[in-house]
Amino acid sequence: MTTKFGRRSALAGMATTALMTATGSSRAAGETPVYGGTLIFADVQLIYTWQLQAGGRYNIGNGLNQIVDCLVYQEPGTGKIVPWLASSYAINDDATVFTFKLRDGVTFSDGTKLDVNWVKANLDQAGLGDEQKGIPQNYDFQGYDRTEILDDHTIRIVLKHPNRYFIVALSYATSGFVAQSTLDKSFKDQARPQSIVGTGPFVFQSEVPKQEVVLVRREDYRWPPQGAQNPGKAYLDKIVFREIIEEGIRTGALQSGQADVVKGIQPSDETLLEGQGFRIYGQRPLLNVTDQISIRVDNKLVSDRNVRYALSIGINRRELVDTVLSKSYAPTTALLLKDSPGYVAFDKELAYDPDKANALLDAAGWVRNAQGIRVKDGKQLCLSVAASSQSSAVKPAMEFIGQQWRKLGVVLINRAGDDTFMNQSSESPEVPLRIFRPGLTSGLVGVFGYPNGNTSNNTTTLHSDPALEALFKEDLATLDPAKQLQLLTDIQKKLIVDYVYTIPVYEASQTYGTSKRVHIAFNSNTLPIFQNTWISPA
Amino acid sequence: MKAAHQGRRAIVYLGRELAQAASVLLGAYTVSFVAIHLLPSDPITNFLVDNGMALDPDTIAKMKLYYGFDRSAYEQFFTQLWGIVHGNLGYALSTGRPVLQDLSDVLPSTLRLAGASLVLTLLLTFSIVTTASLTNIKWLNRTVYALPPLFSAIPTFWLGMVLLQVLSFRWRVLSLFPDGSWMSLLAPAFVLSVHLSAPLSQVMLKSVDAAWQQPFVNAIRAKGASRSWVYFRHSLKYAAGNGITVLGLLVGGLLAGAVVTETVFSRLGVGRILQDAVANQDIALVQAFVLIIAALYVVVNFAVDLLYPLLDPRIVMDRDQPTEAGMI
Repeated sequence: MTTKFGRRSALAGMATTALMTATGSSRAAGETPVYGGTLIFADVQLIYTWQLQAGGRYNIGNGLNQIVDCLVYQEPGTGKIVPWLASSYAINDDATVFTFKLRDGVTFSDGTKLDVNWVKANLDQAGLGDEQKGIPQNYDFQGYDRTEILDDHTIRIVLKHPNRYFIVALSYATSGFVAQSTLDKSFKDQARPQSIVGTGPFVFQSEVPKQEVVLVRREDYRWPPQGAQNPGKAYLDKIVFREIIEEGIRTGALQSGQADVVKGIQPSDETLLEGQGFRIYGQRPLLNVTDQISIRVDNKLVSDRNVRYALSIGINRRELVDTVLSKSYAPTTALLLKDSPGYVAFDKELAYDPDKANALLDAAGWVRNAQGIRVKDGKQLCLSVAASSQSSAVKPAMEFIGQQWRKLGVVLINRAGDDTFMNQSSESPEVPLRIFRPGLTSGLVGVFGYPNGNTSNNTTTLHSDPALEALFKEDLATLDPAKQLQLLTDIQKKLIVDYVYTIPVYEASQTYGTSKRVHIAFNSNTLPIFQNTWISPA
Repeated sequence: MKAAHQGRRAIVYLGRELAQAASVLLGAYTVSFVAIHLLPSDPITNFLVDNGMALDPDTIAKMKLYYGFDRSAYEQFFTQLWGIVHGNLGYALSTGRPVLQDLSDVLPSTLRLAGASLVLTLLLTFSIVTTASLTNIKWLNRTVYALPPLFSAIPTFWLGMVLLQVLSFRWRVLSLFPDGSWMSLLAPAFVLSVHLSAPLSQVMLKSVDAAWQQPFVNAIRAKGASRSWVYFRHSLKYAAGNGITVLGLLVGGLLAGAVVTETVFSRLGVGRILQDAVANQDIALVQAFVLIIAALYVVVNFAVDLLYPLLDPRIVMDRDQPTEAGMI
């Protein structure tokens, strides 16, 4: 079982560049794509549910993205939102009303037509959930009020409160459209791959439960996003999804030609594979937060700001990346990824300073015992960290941070990669540290706040801060870029420096390895676009 | 008169065995129930996070009510037990299907693996014991004697990885993904059998050694029987009783080994499902597995008990009477 950077986390993303990017890479050297072939894709975990709302993890998105299409598409590289199943769109001034004109001639793989009624039915199920069928609300649809049909080709989504990020949420695979036969099914039944009938370039062909899922090309597909490199049907005949749980075996699978594409390459294997002629792609979502250690500030061990600040400046970020990670990762002192709008770094404030860190811990009353471990009121400064298994980098990174913190007299219990522990830590303040990357579809209120006043959603800090929340909400309704930047700078300074609610560490990547013959493309959310992927003849 | 007496004795014996089986099953159920409830996690949170649902207190309360987790542990214990006694093992939380259905899906695959590794275990053990008993070459003898401790020291996980490295990545004769070929069954079965043959061959080696010390062996040898004749006709049979006892106990090892082997070789089976079930705290599923394993233990060991008298006529079914055979 394996990450989730939490579900929302998983598929986040807006704005600009994916690191080694993406769509561009598949057209190197002017090669002409060829049709045909079966691509074997080995992921870190097999897709265990195909239900759209439940599909927040990367591995699930990797499958969904081949079967469903969305209203809009976010261009990797530019972050621009372009039409897809919608032929055009408009957003009102305070980001509460989103209007879409539908594209003509789009059909589901069962032959039914995608029309305004089905668009509305899909959006309603995502936005409101369906209690009878056991379907929860799509996390990215917080604040959804209703969808109105204006005419045969036009619909309008109305939100209860402003959310400028919502348009990005509509580009996620989890916001894709399914046919009536799928919508009518219960949550459990929608989870099966044979239930998902979409408008996408591939359709379900067969399944061996818990072992593999085979998707086959849809011959009449001709509605990719505006500006897509491949305007028609997919090049590949088939995609086979499999899982390899062990990292080392994933590398071996690629080397021995038993998989064409594998996800989740250990940082230490990247150079080796590249040296052998394989391609490594480190993908970052466009709108997301960095890999940051969020702190449960109400936990007594870390309730003192001085302690939290000491932990943050007690990490040598450069050395961390150079030692245990690879060029797919970059050290950071920012909350947002470099290419996200609103990026601001705090290099000076978070510069590595072990002396100051030690002094701060002394001042906070934590005294070293005979073993060099800091103790206060009979309690050792012993911190556990939870992180999911979907990123190959978290575990070695935390191992390294643990060594640096040990020099400060702080003991780190590294539970990174233990998904059960991760799940359980969602609402347990007993776990003081957690690496979690919620998506930004509700802005920062979805990360450090309580959207809709629902106290169960802030799993990062488990702490309520009304003043900050007011700022988060102001950001949701701000469409002027200059004002956005000013607001986000203020917010991030508070989160990272003034209050130290979180410790940014590095910019993570979802790493993929492919054989030389595979020409792959990715969307802005790190998901492969197999419609635009081809295998050159041997 | 004698027949009636024997019949009564058989019924008493059977009754005692059944009572014992029932208490073993109840014990297994109780221990696993307590163990699961002591785990520092909760099944509902796990399920919600896995399925992308917000941790809404309302939803949590509803689900707890639905699955009966709102009741006291005491109450859950008896409700569940009542269900099991009536043949209802409950529903798996993760799949929403009856536990028995989840189980029967994966059982054949694990049984195939278990069967193949059992055969390999017997072959390995037989080769080790026979070589050790019959060879006159000193170094070979010493090497063979060193194998069981070595086998037991090799971690199953490590051996699986090495085998994949060689067979799959270097020689490319084994697919990483089970493809139904003989190789994809034999490789994991071999890994398991190395693990299982360690205790079995150790015990058999000792027992065969003990057989050589028996007075009857001297008598047969004095009559001119060859070493190998004695070994195949008498020593093996003499040692088999102990071997079968160990074999009966290996059922557990087989399953524990399957968890690791099935993960390394990407095989779907009971071991994999059990691992997931524990991680997700899928109580009904774990309980059902524990009960089935316990039942398997009981049946296998009952069968072993019945086999003893066939192998060694000195052993009688009635345990009240002292047996004469010197079991080590």
